[in-house]
Amino acid sequence: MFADEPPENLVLPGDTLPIPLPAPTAKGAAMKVGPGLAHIPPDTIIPVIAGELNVDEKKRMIWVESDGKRYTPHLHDPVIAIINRSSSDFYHCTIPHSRSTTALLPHLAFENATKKTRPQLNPGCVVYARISLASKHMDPELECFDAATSKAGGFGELKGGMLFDVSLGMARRLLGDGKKLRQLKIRQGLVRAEGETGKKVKGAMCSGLEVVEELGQRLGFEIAVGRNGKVWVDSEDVRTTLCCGRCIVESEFLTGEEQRRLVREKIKEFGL
Amino acid sequence: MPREPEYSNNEKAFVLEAIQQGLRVDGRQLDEFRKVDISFGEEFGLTDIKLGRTRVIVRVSAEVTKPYPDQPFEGIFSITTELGPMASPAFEVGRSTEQEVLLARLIEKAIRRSNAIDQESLCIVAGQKCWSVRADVHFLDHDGALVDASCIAVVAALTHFRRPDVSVEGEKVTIHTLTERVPVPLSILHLPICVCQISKAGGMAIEAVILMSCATQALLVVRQVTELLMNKLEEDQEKRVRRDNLLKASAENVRRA
Repeated sequence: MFADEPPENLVLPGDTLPIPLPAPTAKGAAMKVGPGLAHIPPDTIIPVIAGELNVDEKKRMIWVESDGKRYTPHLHDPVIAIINRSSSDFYHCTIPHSRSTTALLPHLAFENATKKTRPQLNPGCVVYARISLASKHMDPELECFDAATSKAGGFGELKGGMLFDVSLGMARRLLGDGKKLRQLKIRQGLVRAEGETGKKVKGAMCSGLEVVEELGQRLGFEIAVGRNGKVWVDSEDVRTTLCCGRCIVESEFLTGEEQRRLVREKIKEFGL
Repeated sequence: MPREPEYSNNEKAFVLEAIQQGLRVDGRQLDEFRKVDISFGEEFGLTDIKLGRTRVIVRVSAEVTKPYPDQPFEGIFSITTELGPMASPAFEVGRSTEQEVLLARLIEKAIRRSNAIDQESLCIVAGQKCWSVRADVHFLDHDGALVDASCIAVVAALTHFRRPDVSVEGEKVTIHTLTERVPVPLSILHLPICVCQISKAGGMAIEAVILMSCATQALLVVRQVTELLMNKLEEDQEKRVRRDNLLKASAENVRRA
């Protein structure tokens, strides 16, 4: 994401914020203080992690974008977890790259699951799940369906394929935060959109998804990204899966154009 | 308590299948060594090694102490390793796992017990004063191959390290500061770079022929790594000379054959 130049609003823990807080639009309107920031009453906000400070004036949000390797569970995050064992009502899972030991996945938290029809998962199975409970003092809980619609919505057991490790920032980017961030920057005039000519404008950010777009045009594969820094890829053969996985892992610090080139080279290398 | 993450069935099956097709998950050849990257710090004896995604920093320091009473003519050399939670969430502070003990013993065996460093040269006044050289190994990122990485790192740091020069007049020992006299390198007898140390504690029997072919391959890798290390050391030396505006001063005596 920062391939072109260092971010402008770099903050370190304990810094005073380099930019003024977004002005209140209406009286009593709340402001959202996102990850990486701590609120010290009455009106001080300090960063608690190092990263790039982002402000969205429109939505009145402020947060720090940073990269790391340890995942802290947050509500509604999609994660890739591994089943450890099963007890009477729960599957006990591990969320890779996270500090907490186990996460609980209720047997009934699947689409159309009843006592009799619940999926039988063995230790070592991989599931794509969403965090339904995240608290500082308790083990997180997972669910494999949308509680409102009781549809799976893409969650569930991941069969076959391979897991690849990426950094947390990369995982967020793959899940589409990069695109949002880029739109925000364009709106703020920090970067200009890539011109219609396709020529790269200085400072233009890539969404970070170029690698997946390019792969999607050339190969057929399935992908699931967990916010905990795991990417699951599956395709019809080992070679394709490996090629996709390698491309994604290696594209972390590349610009959009470089990512596309990397994909083309890799595909040639794997002889696909 | 955090544990080493267990691999899922999917990963196990995939890795096995890929290996059957001659592919490795990280894109290397089947018998290819990881990419080694060595860099040195500002001070002498600070080395940063990257071996693939594993990263190790070694700091070598020296102080003057009293030698052990049973070895009055030898200096002290110790290696400390600690696997902290920075390397992997599976490691905890203050709780040494079996893996950690094994690792420390392996490094110890490879470097200290192979007499890589001439401990007698660390003696200043017999029975009274000697150098105590200490190598602190810090694991910053754990992605396997910790033994290889730490061995290369310790050897690199030891060769890079310079201790202050000492002069002895009768009972009086003077330690010259680094600016006063050119610091002297440690006398290192050989470079034990351990790529494929054979540590077999039980398990299946290995055929001698396979063992030999592994050893030949390891030799090639060791040569490459040694060459890289030497190049990097030279580079660093040149950089220092340029930076400090030094003449190529040397405290070594001219040796005649």
